[in-house]
Amino acid sequence: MRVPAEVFANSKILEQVFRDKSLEQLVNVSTLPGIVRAALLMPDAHEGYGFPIGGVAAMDMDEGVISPGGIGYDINCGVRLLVTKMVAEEIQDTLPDLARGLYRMVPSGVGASGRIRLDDQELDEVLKGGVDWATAHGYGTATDAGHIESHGRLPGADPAAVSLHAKNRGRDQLGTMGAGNHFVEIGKVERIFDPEIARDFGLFSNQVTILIHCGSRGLGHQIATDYIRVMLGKLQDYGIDLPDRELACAPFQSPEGQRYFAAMTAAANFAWANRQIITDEVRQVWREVLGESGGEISILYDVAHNIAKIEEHVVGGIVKKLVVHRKGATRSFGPNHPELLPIHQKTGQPVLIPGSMGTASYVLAGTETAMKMSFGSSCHGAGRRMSRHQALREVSGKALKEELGAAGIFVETGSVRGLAEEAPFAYKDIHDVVGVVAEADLARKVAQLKPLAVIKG
Amino acid sequence: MYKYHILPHTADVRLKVSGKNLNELFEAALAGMNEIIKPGFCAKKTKPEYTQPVALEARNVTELLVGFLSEVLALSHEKKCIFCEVRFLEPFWFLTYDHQKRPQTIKPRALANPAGVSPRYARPRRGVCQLQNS
Repeated sequence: MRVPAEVFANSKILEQVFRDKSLEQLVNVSTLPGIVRAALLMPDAHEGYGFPIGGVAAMDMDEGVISPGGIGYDINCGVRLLVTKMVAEEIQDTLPDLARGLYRMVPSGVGASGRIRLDDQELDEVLKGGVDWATAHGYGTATDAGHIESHGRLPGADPAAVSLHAKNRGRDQLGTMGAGNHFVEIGKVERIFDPEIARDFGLFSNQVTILIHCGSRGLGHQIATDYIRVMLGKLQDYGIDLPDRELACAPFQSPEGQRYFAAMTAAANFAWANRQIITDEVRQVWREVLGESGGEISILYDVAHNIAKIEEHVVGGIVKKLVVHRKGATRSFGPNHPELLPIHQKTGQPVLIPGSMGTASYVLAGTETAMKMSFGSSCHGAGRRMSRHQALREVSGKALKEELGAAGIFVETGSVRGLAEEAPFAYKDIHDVVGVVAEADLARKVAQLKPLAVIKG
Repeated sequence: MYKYHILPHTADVRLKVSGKNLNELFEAALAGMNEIIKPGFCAKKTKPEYTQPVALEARNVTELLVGFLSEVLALSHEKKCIFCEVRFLEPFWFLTYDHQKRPQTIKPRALANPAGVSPRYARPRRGVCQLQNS
């Protein structure tokens, strides 16, 4: 180990984390060249590909490596929270229509295609432009980008670093959700913990919200596949000896490291464009079902939770430029950080933590403590505690849909099997996970959301 | 019957495959992956409608198997189909596949760069296991 491995957990979560390879993987991460201060694990941790999910690792920009496994296959998988001007009672009668409309409008499922098919030039523009491409083509408003992490566009994306396979997999997938744990969820603000920050974020009691969870689809997956292969082939040349081949990496400043970073950035921009197109689809359905009375839908925030970013952090009293890998971890920058949008300078950035289907989601705010303890990072969700196989053995999709319906949660899905795999009991208790984050002051609780309708792939 | 077992994994899926030789191993891995992508599809298929040539090269058998599955997965998504069979025709590998529901509009074609990366990086090195070439 080059640095310590640190875990944020309570005793109950720690007991769950011990059941899989999360800790072994965290120790492996701590051996990577150029890692600084500590390898970190958030309370929603579970075993992943090479790196654990819920992992944060910051590498020295000049001496450290970049690893696709530290970002994940779904590059810039993330969460966007939309807020409406309506309260839950006002959509009670139209909720089934809204859910069915969203299911129809937002294509879902493994490999699903959307309504947009991009030619080579347009796809390159998406990879470079992210949300800017989408808004310039009428998918959203000019102010939308001002409410998104990094304005929904990272500089340095290079479409030439993205393979033909990756482009072919992505060219018809904008505006699609995918499968697995991805969803669009209509909810309401059930509880407010910090009225002042909630007001600044534009949240009020009983307000109808819409949460979108998805990423860069097949394009990001292929980029990870391509560059893991490339990096495995260069390990010996760079003298990198790994405890696990899934940690494949390359020096950040090497040609392979730079090329992967440029491709990853392109995928991140693609994912932001994807969530922007889905936002437009949500707005269309909202207008179709509710008409003018539905009012406008605006973006509260959009966070990436599978990404590597170049950031400045204080390490040993010195400000250093680091390549911060967040894999199943959300940025949680505190107040007055220069990278934050002006509207979040006073509050810290919104931190969006979706829970499992039947439970709750949280809106939190980033803190100064997170800057000191976790490279400005927090958890990203409830975190699985059970394999999909085991979840399938314990409940049928049909029974789960009925159970959720009885609890007042309307479900639309293209796969009842997939629904069972995502059963709430397959995840850790979101209240425990967020409780650890709040107690450690990695983020401050602002509001709790309750699901009303879930649309799943 | 192909020998594969889908094993539990907290986040993803884990596949254990076995075979008496490399061909059997690759066939079992393909069958297992297809069962994950679309359960039961290949068991009820009728006849293959297309073949897709694939050329792969790798530094060792593990990378060759991972590369093979990655290539098939990418082609499955690109062409919206499941490849149910693999035939090993030296010096070619040929895949055959069935359509899914929608009509096929994309013609099979040779991939100029099957690894999806610069040939500079894909060039085999020590301990080469290479199965290609057109």
